[in-house]
Formats: sequence, structure tokens, C-alpha cells
Amino acid sequence: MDRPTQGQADGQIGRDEFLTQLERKLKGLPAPEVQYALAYWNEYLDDAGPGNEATALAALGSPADVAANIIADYAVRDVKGQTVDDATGFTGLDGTDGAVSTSIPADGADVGAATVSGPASSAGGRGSGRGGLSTVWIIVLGLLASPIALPLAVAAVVVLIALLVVVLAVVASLFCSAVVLVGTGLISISMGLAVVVRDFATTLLYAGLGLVCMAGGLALFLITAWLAKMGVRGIVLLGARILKRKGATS
Amino acid sequence: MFQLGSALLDGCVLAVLSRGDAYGYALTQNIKKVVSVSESTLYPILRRLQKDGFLATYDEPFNGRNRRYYQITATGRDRLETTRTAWATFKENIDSIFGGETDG
Repeated sequence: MDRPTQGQADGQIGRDEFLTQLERKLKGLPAPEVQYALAYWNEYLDDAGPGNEATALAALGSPADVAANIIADYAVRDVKGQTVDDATGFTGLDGTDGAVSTSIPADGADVGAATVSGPASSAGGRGSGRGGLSTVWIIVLGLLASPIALPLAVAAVVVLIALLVVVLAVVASLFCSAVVLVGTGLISISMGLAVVVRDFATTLLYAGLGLVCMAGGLALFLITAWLAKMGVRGIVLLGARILKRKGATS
Repeated sequence: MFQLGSALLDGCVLAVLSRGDAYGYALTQNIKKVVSVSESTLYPILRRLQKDGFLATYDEPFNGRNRRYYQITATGRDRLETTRTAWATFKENIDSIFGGETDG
């Protein structure tokens, strides 16, 4: 391994320290994603050459800066992923992605055996939900690990969580309304059917009302699902924006 | 003076790679010659372009380690062409407002 451990200028962290810190900051991401990033930066510093390592590290900025960019981009892609796939016509994208990521842990272990093979590599697997609440979580972790001053980061996280609670509350209430509408519809129809022999006109009236209620309820389900998706997406994009802007300023 | 949006940065990366495969460090240096962009913003771009199928990667041994090369795909070339066309239109529009030589 051609890894010189040269003395660093004061205040400047060395390569191993950089990679260790970067790995820690990226913790919220799926393990393959972390390995890929670590392998990239390890190779990058190899290619910068032993003589330029300190300069290259200084130009890179802090591990927090580097991590903020990676996390923000990952989160944005995660919530926008589906539309991007559609636009490019890549239906088998997950397949290729899986193929790529399986080759990485091996690489990562090979290139940076000393620093890269941490407990993260044994975690394995991809993030569970694409573009869901897990992405919000990644953003929250990213903000807390970001180069933003901690009070500001906490404020940003609180705002994001407050927005999330609002979205969830609205979604929950709409969902309840939808359930009630569908239920009312069913009751109304059965009431109508109960008097089908005695009073057919009433049956028709109740059944009609019931069907309208059910249709409204089902439509409300769809609207609720769409709102939930858009709400979470908006929160993630907002969070990524905060993360990225702050991450890029230094 | 001007801020490069992600569409233009993507385009720059694709354009450089359309002239030949490159590994991360060399690619970064090439891009930095033309636009002032920080090293840390290029990695996410490369990763995203690769996930979207615009770039492919392969490893080549170098000095007892591996170098990961990035290569533009056919889809990537299509994307580059789209960006190029959009840029040409954009540039023409701005030029026409500025009243430069293109004003005829």
C-alpha cells in the first residue's frame, strides 16, 4: 500500500483521519453508498500523489463538507428517483444499481483495507424505503452531522420535523375522513337494501347516496396518498437545500 | 460571477468524458481548469450520473491498486446532445438581449 503517513501541518487532519470522519458522517446512508464514497476519496487521494496529499485534503474541505454534499444529493435523488427513471426510460435501474453495489464492498476493502473495512461493511443491504420517511431520517442525520453550527442545525431539524408532523396530521385526518366516507357509504347501502321489499324508491335513494359517499371516500384515499408523497418529498428537498447550501459555502 | 446549475455541471462532466474515459482525480482536474467547482461537489454528480445510466465504470490496475475509470454511455451521449442544444438556445437568447455580435 502506498500510503505515506507524513506529518500534517497544524489544524489539518491527515488522510486516515479524513476517511474515518467521513465514514462516521455518512452513517445514515446505505452501506454500499458509504463504501463507494470512501473508495472514491481514497483513490482520489492516491491519485493526488503522496506529495500533494496535504494540499488535496485542504482543497477538499472538512469531511463534514464532503459528507453534506453526498447526503444532500443522495436524498434528492432518492425522492426524485422515480421520475428520473421514468424520464430516461430506465426501468431496470435497480438491477444495474444492485450489480454495481455488490462489487463495491470488495473494492473498498481492497483499496483502503486499513480505514474502510469498518462495522458498516457488515451491515450490508440497501436503504429500505425509496423516497419515504427513511429519506427524511437521512436528511436529519445529515443536518446534525453537517458543518452548520449545531444550534442552527438543530433549528433546521426542528423545523423539518414540525413540517413532517403537520403533513402527517393532515394526512391522518384526511385518511380518517376517507374511512368514514367509505363506511357511511356502506351503511347507507345496507340500509337501503334492508327496505328493498317494502320501499324500493328509498332503497334506490340510500344506495345512490351510499355509492356517492364511497366514491368520494375512495377519491379522498388517492388524494391523501398523493399529498403524503408530495409532502414528504417537499420536506426532503427543503432539507437537502439547507444541507447543500451550508455545505458548499466553505 | 455566474452560478452553474446541476444541468450545466452534468453537461460539463459528460462533455469531458465524451472525449475519453477518465478516473476521478484526472476528471476533477480537467473540469476545474474550465469552471471553478469544488472537488466535493463533483463526486455526487459522478455518482448520480452513473446511477442514472449516463456513465459506466470499470477498474484498471495501477501501481498495485485499482483505478476506477468513468466512461460515457450511449444514453449519456444522448443526454449530452440534449444539454448542448438547450445551451445553444439559452446562449442565443442571452446574446440577443446583450446585443452582441449575434445581433447582426
